[in-house]
Amino acid sequence: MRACGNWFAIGDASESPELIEEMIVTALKIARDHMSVADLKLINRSIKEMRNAAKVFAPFQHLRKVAVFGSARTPVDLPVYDVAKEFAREMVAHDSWWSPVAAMESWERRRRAQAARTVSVLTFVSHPSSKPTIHQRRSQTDYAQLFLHP
Amino acid sequence: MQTGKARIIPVVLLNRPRGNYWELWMEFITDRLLKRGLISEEDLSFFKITRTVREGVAEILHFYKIYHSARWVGERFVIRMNDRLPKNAIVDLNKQFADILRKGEIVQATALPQEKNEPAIWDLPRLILTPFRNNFGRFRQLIDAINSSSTA
Repeated sequence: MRACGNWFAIGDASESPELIEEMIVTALKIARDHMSVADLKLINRSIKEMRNAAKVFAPFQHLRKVAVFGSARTPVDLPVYDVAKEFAREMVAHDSWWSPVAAMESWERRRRAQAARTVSVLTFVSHPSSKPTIHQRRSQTDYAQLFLHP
Repeated sequence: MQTGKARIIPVVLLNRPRGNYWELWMEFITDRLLKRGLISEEDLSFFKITRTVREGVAEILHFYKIYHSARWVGERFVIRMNDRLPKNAIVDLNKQFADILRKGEIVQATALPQEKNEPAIWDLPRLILTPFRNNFGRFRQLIDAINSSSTA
């Protein structure tokens, strides 16, 4: 049952191939379980979506992230909308490693994203123990955009 | 978080200026859940209602002031910290949180071998304990106590 180990010579899963094996075994067991097509679809879709979400976030494991939740129907002229914006701005301001220019830029992107009626805002706060590289900084800005313009 | 299935993160419920949205929600939680014993008093530690953005930001930054992250290694709960704690702080934590320890004490240590897959935080000091896997509100209170401690 250690067969999957060789598949992950490079990459994070090399540390825990047994978890990948367990997932494959679970999938094979599902095939024998006589469950409904609806259940199969639910499990299939769940694992695909969870995989995709984890993949998108994987490059940013070294960064602290703050999610702001609110209703997407919040009118932009309500005070609570300003509170969400101010909160995001404050969090970025407390990021000691992200350059003010980058923070400003990403804030500008967020401002523009208002047009997309999106209240969810994702800001990044640096991880205290690992400094992001320039490449990663660019990626995180791209990601912010990706998140706000789905 | 309450069931230990999700890792503990700071949750801020932010009111708009002069707003009382979250106070109304809190009334429901208190009256319908807490008073009936469906949740514990400690579970209220998982979130904080704030009236200003400044307060909300401070809550999040304070959460990561000394506390860095945590994970399970078998039956041990390993808390990674940005700074070492002084000896008397460890003594205080052991007194305050004796109720959550299944065996042994809270000890200050270095990374366990099982943590070698997280090299970026290998050098951080640790608090290691063997707690009961329930009453996770107390885990949050432990994190708060760590963050309010002085550093070595």
